[in-house]
Amino acid sequence: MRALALAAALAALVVEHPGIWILPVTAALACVLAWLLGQRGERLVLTAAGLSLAVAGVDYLAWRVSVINWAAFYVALPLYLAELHAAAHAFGLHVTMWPRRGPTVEPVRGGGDQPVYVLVPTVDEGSAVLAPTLRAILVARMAWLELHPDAEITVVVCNDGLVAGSGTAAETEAVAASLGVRCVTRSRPGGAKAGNLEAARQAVGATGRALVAVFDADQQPEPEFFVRTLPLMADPKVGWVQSGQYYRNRDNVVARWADDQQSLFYRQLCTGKSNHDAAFICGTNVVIRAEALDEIGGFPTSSVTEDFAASIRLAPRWKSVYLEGVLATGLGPATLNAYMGQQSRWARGTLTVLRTDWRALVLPRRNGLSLVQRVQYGLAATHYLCGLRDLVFFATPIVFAVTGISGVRGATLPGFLEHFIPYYGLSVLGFFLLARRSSSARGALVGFLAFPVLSLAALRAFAGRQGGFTVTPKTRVHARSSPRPYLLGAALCVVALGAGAALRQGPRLLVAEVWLGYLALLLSVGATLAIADGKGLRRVADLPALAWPRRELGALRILLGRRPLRRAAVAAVSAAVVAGGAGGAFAASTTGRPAVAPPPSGLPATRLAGLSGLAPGSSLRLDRSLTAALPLLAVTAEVDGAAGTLMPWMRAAARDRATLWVTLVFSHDGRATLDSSLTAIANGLDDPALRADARALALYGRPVYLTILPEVDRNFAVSSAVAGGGIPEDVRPAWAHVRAVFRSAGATNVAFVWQPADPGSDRRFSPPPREIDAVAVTLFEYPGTLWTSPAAVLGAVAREHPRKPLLVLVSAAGRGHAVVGRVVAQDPSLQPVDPPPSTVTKPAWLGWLARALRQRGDVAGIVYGDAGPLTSASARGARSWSASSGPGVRQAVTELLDAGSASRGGRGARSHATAGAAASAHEGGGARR
Amino acid sequence: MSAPALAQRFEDVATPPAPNPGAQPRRRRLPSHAPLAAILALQAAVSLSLHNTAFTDEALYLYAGHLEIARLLHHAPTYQNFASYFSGSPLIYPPIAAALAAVGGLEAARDFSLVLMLAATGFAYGVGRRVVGERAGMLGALAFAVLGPTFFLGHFATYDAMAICLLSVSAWCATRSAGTAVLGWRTLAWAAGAGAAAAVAGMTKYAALLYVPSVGCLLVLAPIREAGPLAAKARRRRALVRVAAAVAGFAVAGEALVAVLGTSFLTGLSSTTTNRPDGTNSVAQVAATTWHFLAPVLVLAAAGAVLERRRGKRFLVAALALTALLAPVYQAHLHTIVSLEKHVDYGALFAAPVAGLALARLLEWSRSHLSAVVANLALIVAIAVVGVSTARSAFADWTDSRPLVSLVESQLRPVTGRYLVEDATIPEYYLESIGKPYQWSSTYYFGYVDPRTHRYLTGLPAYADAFAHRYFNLVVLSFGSTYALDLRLSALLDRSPNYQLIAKIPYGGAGRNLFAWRLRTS
Repeated sequence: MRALALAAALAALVVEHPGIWILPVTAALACVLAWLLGQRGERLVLTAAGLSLAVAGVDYLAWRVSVINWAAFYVALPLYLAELHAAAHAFGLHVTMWPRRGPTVEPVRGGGDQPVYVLVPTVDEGSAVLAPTLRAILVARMAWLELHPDAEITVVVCNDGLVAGSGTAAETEAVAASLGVRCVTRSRPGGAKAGNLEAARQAVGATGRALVAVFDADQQPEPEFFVRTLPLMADPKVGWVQSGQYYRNRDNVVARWADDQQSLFYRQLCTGKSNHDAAFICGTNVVIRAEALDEIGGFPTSSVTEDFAASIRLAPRWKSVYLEGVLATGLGPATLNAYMGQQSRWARGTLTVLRTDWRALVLPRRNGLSLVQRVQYGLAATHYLCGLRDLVFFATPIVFAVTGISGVRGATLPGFLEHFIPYYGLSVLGFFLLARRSSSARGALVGFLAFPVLSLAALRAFAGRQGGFTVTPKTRVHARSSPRPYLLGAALCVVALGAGAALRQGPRLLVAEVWLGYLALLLSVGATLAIADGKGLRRVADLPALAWPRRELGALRILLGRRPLRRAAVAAVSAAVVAGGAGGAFAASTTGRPAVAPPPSGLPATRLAGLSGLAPGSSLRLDRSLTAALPLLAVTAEVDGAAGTLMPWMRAAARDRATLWVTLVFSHDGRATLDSSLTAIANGLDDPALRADARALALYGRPVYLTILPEVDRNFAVSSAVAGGGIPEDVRPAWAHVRAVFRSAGATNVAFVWQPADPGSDRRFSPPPREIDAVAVTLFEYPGTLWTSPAAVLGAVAREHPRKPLLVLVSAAGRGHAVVGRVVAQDPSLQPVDPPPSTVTKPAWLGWLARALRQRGDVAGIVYGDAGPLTSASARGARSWSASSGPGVRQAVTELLDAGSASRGGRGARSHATAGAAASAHEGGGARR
Repeated sequence: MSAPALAQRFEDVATPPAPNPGAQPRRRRLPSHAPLAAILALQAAVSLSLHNTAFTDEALYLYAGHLEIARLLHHAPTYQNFASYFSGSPLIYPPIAAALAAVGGLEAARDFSLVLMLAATGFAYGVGRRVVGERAGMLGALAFAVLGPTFFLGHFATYDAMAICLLSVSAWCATRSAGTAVLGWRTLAWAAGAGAAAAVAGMTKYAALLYVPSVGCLLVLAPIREAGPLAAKARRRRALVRVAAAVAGFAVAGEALVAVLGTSFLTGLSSTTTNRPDGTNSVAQVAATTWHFLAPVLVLAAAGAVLERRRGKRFLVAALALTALLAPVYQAHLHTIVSLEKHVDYGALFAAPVAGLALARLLEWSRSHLSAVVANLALIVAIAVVGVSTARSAFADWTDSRPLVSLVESQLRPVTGRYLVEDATIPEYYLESIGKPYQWSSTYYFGYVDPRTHRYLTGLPAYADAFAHRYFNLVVLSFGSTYALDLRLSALLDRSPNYQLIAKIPYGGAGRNLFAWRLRTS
C-alpha cells in the first residue's frame, strides 16, 4: 500500500510536472493529515515544513542545475556543491528530528555490581580547574554509593602533563593525592587524549566487564550523574551512555556564543540521533562499557576526535543512549582564539574520520551500520565541510562583483525568487522551529565566523596533516582576539558591493549585492564580538542562563531574546544597514529624480537653434564664433523603448543646458503595425510604452518640446489619419489620449507640438487649439523640385494656428526651381533679390529663410536637419543635405541658426549662447516634396 | 555536602522531576476547523494560480450582467433576450458577477466564484461530518477540494460556482433538519431552507435541479443525532413532514423567483437543459470525460460505499455515491460532453463525504506508523497533482484571446464602427468601455437589411450584402467553431474590392491563425 501510494505520487509528479504550487499543496495536505492523526502545534508545523522543504530543496537544486554556468565551472561547481551541502544539512536537520521512537532501554533498579573507573584526562589545566572537577566526581560517587554501598567506583586522573611538558604534572599528582584519588602519569607519549585515556585504562585494568566514565578536567558532574547513567548500563547491549556538555562560564562573551552554538547539538540533535540509534560519544560526560572498547582495541588514537571515531566503530554492535538534561557542566572557550582552536580541532578530527572511516559509512558491510546510522553519522562527518561551504558563499559574490564571473547563467530574477525563496524560507523556518528553544542566532553566527579556520582545517585533514591535540584554554591566557580579520572581510564586501554597483547591472547583481550586504553585516557583528572579547566584557545578567531555556517564551521573545527593545534596535539597525546597502547600490545605478520643470514657455527670450542628424555628444563647429552648445536638441524616437533612446540625449541636453525637442513616432522597428493606427493609439494599445516614455521625460525634469502624430494629415507617417482605413476624425481622440497619458504620468514639463505635413491646410486634421502648445513647420527641400517660399509658408502656418509659437525644422539639398517668380509678390523677404533668379541655390534659399525668421516674432526655435529627411548623417545621400555640403552652405547655415537664435523682432543681435555640438537622427520625419 | 543533604538531593534526582508548569510548553490546541482552513487555503491557492483570458461563457455572462444592470437602473436596452438561450437565469448570477467585475475586473468575478466554491467545500464538510463523521467529513471535504473541476470552478466566472454553493447550502440544511432530535419549528425551518436553497440553485443554473432528489435523500435518510431509537413508523412520519416542509420552501422560493424574474427563462430552460438537442458525442466519450475529471472521487466513493457496514447508513451512502453519476448519465443520454467538466462537480459535492469515508478507513489502518502516514499523504498529493493538472489543462482549453482583443482594439472606433468577429462575445466584453453592443456581429448569426431593397437577409447572403455595402469596418475570422462559414466569408472578402487583409496572426497554436480584413479607405 505504501509503495503503491508513493509510486502514485511519484508518477503524478513526473507525468504532470507540477510547478512551485506543489509546495503549498504538500504543506497543506501534510498539515491536514498530521492534524487528523493527532499531531498538534509545533510538531504539526515541523512535519509540514520538513516535507515541504524536501520538495522545495529538490525543486531549487534541480532548477540550479539548469542555470549552472558551465563556462565558469571553476566558480559554478564549487557554488553548486556548497548549496548542495547546505541543502543536505538543512533537510538532515529535519530527518534527525523526525519523531521516532528510539531503542528502548529501561533503567534497572539495583545494579552496582560492575566496577566503574572514572577517567579524568588532564594536560595543563592545573589544580584550579582540576580540583573542583574531582570534588564534584567524588560527590557524585558518594550519591551512587549511598544507593549501592557495595559498588566500586575508582576515580583516576590521567595525567599527561609529563609527556606534554606542561609543567603541571607534579601539581596534578598533588591534587589527586590530596583528594585521595588515583593518578596515572604516563611517560610514553602518543595518541593525544585517546592515548592518555587508553594508557590509564590499561594501567588501572578498566577492561572486561568494567565501566569507564570519562570527564574532561573542567567538566564537573552533577551529584546525580551516576544515579542517572549507570542503571542504563545494566542492559548488556548498551555500549555507552552519553550526556550533554554545557558551559557554566556564560559570563564570558565567547563562551556564551559558543554555548549557544553547541546547545542546538546537545539539546536537540543528540536526542534525535539517539532515537535513530546513532548517538555519539562526545569525549566527556560519558559512561562506556570497557568490553566495547576492548572490542575495537581501545580508544582510537588515529583521530584527534577519538570519541567520534569510536562511535562509528561501536555503533553496529552496541546500543547507544543519550540522556537529556544537565548532568555535567564545564568551561567553554574563554577567548575567540580559543574558540577557533577548538573548532579547528573538531573539524580536523571529524574530517579525518571521514577520510579514514568513509568505507564504514558508504560501503555495504555485513553487520555494519544501518542505513539510518549511516545517514546520521554521515551528516555529522560532513558537517565541518561547512567551513569550505561558507568560504565559497563568501568568495562567489565578491568574484562576481569584481570580475563579472558568475556561477549562474540564464537565470531570471523572478525565476530565482520563485525557486529560492520557498526553499530558503522553509530552511530558515525549520531551523528556527527546531533551534529556538535551545539556541539563538548567535550560535549560527559564531559558526559562520569560524569559516576561515574550518576551511584550513578541512584542507589539512584531506591533506592527511592531522596536527596535534590542543586543549581548549578555559581561562583568558591567550592573546586577545583582534577584530581586524572581520573588519577586513567586511571592508572587502563593501568594496565589492561598490565595485558591483559601478561596473555591473541586472538581476544577478541585485542578488549579489544583497548577499554582500548580508555578509558585511555578519562580519561586522563578528568584529564586534572580537572587540568585546578583547575588552574581556562580562555580562553578569546572563549567568543563570545555564538552565533550560524557558519554553513559555512567546515567538517575539524567542526572536528578540531577553532584552527585546535593545535587540529590536540592533535588528532594526542591521536591517537598515542591509537595506541601505542594497538601496544604495540600486540608487547608484539609477539617476535621481529632479523636480519636474514647467513646459517650455511659449516664446523663449532667445530663439532656440540647433542641428539634428548627428549622434549625441558629437561635435559640429559651424563657425569660430559658435563656441557654446546649440540650445535646441532635436531627436526622434519610436514610442517603444523611447526612454532608452532618449537617455543619452537627455544627459547631453542637461549637460549643455539645451532644450530637448522630441518627436515620438508610432512605428515599431521602423514599420507600421496595427498598434500604429490612430484608433489603436486612442484606445490605449500603446499606453504602456507611452507611460514609460512619459515617466522618463518626467524624470528628466527639464522643459521638453514633444511632437506626436507628426504629419498625420498626409499618408507619409505610420499613424496617418488617412492611411490604413483611418479618417481625420481619428486624430483628435488619439492626440487627446496621448496628452492624458503624459499628464497622468506627471510629465508636466512637456509642451505638445503639432507638426503638419501640409502646413496651412491642416485644420481639418488638427487637434483643438487648446491642446496644441506649439506648431512645427517642416521645410525639407529636395533637389530639382519646386522650393517653397519660407516666408509664405511660415505666414500660412501662423494664420492657420494663430498665437501659437513656431518651431522650424529645415534642410535642403542641391538646387531648387525658381519659386520666386510666383510668390515674390506675397513674400516680402524676397524683395531685396533683384533680379529674381530662375533657380535657387541652397545658400540663397537658406538666406531667404534667415531673413524670414528675422522678420517674424513668433518663431520659438529653428533646427537644421543635417541629414535632411534621412535617418542619419551616415546614410547614403545624406551628405548633400549636410550643413557642410558645399561652398557657402556652412556660412549660410551659420547665419540661419544665428538668425534663429537672435533675439526676436529683427534686431539682429547675435546669440549669446550658440554653437558646438549635438544633434540627432531624424528617423521618422517626413518631407515636403 | 553533608550526607542528609546529599540524600535529599539524591531523592530529588532519583524521582522523576515534577513537571514545571512554567517550563513545559503549553500545548496549543488548534481550533477544530484548522484542517478545514488548511484545505480551503490549498483550494484557494491552486484556484488562484489558474490563469487565462475570459472564456466565451464568462465574457457572455459578465457582459449580459452588465447590460441587465444598465437595463434595471437606466432602462437601457439589452439588444437581446438573454433568458431565451442562457442555461440559468440572466438576472441572478450575471448581475452580481458583473457588478463585481465592474469594480475589480474579471478577476473579481472569478474570486467571487472562489468564495462560493470555498463555501461549498465548507458545507460539504458540514454535510459529511453529520453523515459519515468528523474525520471522514474532513477527508471528504479534502477530496472535493482537490478535485480538478473544483479547482477549475473556483476560478471560473459562470453560474456553476453559485449553483454548487447553493446546492451545498441546501444539502447542509437538509442534514441539519434530519439531525434535529425534536420535530419542531427549527426542523421545519431547516427543511424549508433546504427546499428554498435548492430552488434558488435551480434558477441560478437549471442543471442544478437534477440534484434536488439527492437533497431529498439527505432529508429523508440522514441520521438523526441524539434522537435515540425511534420506531420505523415515527421515522417515516418525521421524514415525510420534513419533505413536505422542504417542498413548501421550494415552491414558495420558486414562485417568488418566477414572480420577480418572469417566465421567459422557460425558453432557456427548455433549450439548454430539458429539451437540449442531442449532441454528437458517444457514450464512451462521455464516460471517458467523466473518468478524466472525476476518477479519484468515483473510485474513493465506490470504495466508501463498499466499506460502509452500518445498516442505517448503507442506503444513504450508496445514494450519495451514485449522485456522482447523475450528470454523466444524463449527458450520455443527450450524447454531449458540453460543460461536463463543470457538471460532474455537482455530483462530486454529494459523493465527497463517501470518498472521505474511504480515506478515513485507510488512515485508521495506518495511523500507528508515520511512514504509512507519509504514504497516505503521498496518495492524496497524487490526487491533488492530478486535480491541479486537470484544472490547468481545462483552464488552458480555450485560446488566449489577447491577440484577438488587441487586434480589434487597434481598429475599434467608438459608436460609428461596425465589427464582425467570429466570437464577438470576447471583444464585446473586453472592449465594453469603447464599443457598444450594436457595433458587434458574430458568425453565429447575422441579420442585415439591404439599404436599397430593404430586404432582411440572414446567413451568407446577409454577410455578402454587408460586405458589398461596406457595412463592416473590420472582419476578424479565426476559423474555429464556424469553420465552414468562415471559409466562405474569407473567399468573399478576398474577392471584395472593399476590404483588404491587414493581419494574419497565430492564434491558439497548431498552425491556426486569426485573419483580419479592414475596410479600404474610399
